[in-house]
Amino acid sequence: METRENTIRSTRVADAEKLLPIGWSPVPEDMPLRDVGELVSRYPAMRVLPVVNARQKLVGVIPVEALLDDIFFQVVPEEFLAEVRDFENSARLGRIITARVARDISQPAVSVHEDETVKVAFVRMHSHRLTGIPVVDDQNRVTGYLDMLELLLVWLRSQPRTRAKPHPLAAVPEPDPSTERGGRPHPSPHPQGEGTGGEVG
Amino acid sequence: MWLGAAIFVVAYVGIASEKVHRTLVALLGGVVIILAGVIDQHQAFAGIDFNVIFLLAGMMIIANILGSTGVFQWMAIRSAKMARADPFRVLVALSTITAVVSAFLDNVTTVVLIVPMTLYIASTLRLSPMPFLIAEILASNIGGTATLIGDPPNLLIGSAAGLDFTAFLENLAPVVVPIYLAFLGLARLMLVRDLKVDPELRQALLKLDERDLITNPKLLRQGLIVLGAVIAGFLVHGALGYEAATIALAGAAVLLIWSRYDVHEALVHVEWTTLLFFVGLFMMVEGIVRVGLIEQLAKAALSLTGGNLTLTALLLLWLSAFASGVVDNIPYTATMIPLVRDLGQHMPATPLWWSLALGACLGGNLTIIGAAANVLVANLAERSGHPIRFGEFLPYGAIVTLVSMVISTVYVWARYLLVWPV
Repeated sequence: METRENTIRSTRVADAEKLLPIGWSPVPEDMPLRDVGELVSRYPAMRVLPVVNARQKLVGVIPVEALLDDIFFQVVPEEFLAEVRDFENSARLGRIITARVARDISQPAVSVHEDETVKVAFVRMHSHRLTGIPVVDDQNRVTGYLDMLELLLVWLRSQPRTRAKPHPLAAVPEPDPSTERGGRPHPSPHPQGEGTGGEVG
Repeated sequence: MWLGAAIFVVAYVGIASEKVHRTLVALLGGVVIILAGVIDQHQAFAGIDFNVIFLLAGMMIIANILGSTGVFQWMAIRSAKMARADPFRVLVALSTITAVVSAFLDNVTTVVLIVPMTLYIASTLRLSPMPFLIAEILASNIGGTATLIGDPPNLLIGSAAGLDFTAFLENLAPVVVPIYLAFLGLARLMLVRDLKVDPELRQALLKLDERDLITNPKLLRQGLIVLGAVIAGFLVHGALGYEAATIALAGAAVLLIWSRYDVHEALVHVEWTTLLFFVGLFMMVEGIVRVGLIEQLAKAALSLTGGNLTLTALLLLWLSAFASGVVDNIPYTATMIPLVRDLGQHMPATPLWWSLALGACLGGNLTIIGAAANVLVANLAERSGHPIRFGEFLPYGAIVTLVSMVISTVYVWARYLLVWPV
C-alpha cells in the first residue's frame, strides 16, 4: 500500500522544483567574484550557485555563504584572521584570501537529475550541507535549481491540516498554473552573454 | 632478531613512503612486534616514553588555548606593520616570529597560525607568498632546534639522555643564533632580492587594526602567565627533580582550571595522531633494542670509525642531517637514540647527543618532506593555490641546510671535540 511517506519520497525532482518561483542562473567558472556577487543580488532566492565550464557542464557549486565570506573578508579581515584555530580553518582562510574567480571558491559539484526523487535530493543536500542543489540533465548540463524550501513544501502539502484554517501568516503558496513550469522564472543569460536558459519570466 | 628487524624496516619504509598514514603504520608495527612474539606487551609498553607523550600533550593544550586568543595573528600583523610593509623586513619579522614561537611551542601549531597571516599580508601587498612561506619553513626548523621543546627530536633526545631544558639552551642556542642570522642573509639573497611593493599597497596593510585580532584579552593574559611559568619551570625542572612532562601537564591543567576553558574544545585540538605515532614508534624501537639489533649496529659503527670520537660525532651530525631531510626525523631519531646510548658506553656521549640533535633538527630543512611542519605548510599552500613543489623548495633547503651544517660542524668541533681526548 502506498503510504504518505513513500509518496513524499517518490516525488520527482522535476515536480518539486516547480513549487516556488525561484530564479536561477549558472555561474561561469572564470567569472570574477565581484560579478558573481552582482549575479547573486539579481537572484536573491538562489542559495547555492551552480558553477559551469565553457561547455555549460556543472563543475562545482558555491553556497552563497562561501561567497559572503569572501566579500566580508575584504571588509573585516580581522574577524576571519582571528578565527584560525586548526588546519581546516587555516586552509579555508587561505582559499578565501587567494580567491579571484568563481572556480577558486567552488566546492565539488553536487547535483540531482530531474527524474530522481526528492529523497535522493534531500540525502545529497544533507550530506553536503547544502540548502539547494542544481538540477542537471543526462549531459550534466544545469536545467534547474531545487531549494530546500521546496522539499519542505512537498512535505507540508502531504500533511493533513490540524486546523480548519491555517494561520494568516502561514499560507502555503500554490503553484501558478498560468505560467510555464509553475510560475518559475526562466534563468537569464549570465553577464558575459552566454547562458543556458531563456529570458527572465 | 631478524624478525624484529624485518618488521621495523617494513614499517619504516611504510612511514617514509607516505602511502599510508604514518600513525597507522607505527601502531600496526608496534602491535605486530608483540603479536610476532619479538617482545611481549609489558616490554613494549615499557618502551613508551611517557615523558615525551605527555610533554607534547601538555604543550599542545597550552598552544591551542593561546592560539584561540588570536595572539599569533596579532604578532604577525603587528610585526608586518612595524616593518612598514617592506618585503625583506616583513620576511624577517614573520620568520623571526615563526622561529621564536617554534622554540617554545610546537612547530605544527605555529605554522598553522602563521600561514594564513602570511597569505593575507602577501595578498594585500600583491606579492607572491612563496618566498615568505619558504622562509617560514626554514625558520621554524632552525628556531625549534634551540630548545628542548622546540622540535620532537630534541624531546626524544632530552628524555632519553637526561638532558634538561637548560642544557639544551646552553648547548644549542649559541649555535642556533648564528645559523639563523646566516639564514636571514641567504633569504635576502635568494628569496626577496627583487621584490618591490607599491606605496599604495603598503598603506592598505598599515590600515589594518591588529587589535581586533585579539578575541579574548583575559584568556590571553592567563595564557601568557601560565606559559611564562611553564618556561620558568623548564629552566629549573632538572634542579627540582621533575621531568619536563610534569611541568607541561601542570601548566595545561592550571590554565584549563583558571580560564575555565572548555575541556573538550581544548582536547579536540590535541594532535592525537602525532601522539599515537610516537606510541607505536616507541614500541617498535623497543623491539629492535631488546633483540640486540641496535647493539650490533653500534658495534658496526664503532668498527667503521675505529672508535674515533671526532669522526663518530661528525659522521653522526652529517648522517643525521641527510637522513632527516629524506625521511621523517622522528623515527630516525628514535632509532638512533639507543645506538648513541650504546656508543656512549665506549666514548664520551655528550658530543654525540648534540650532534644527533643538531643534525636531526636542522636536517629537516633539506627537503619539503623533511619535517612535519614543512609538509603542513606545503599542504596549506597547495590548498590556497600556491603549491610548493619538491624541486622548487630543494635548492633553498639544500643551501640553508649546508650552511647550517658547516656552522654546526665548526661549533661541535670547537666546543666538544677539541677538549675531549680522542
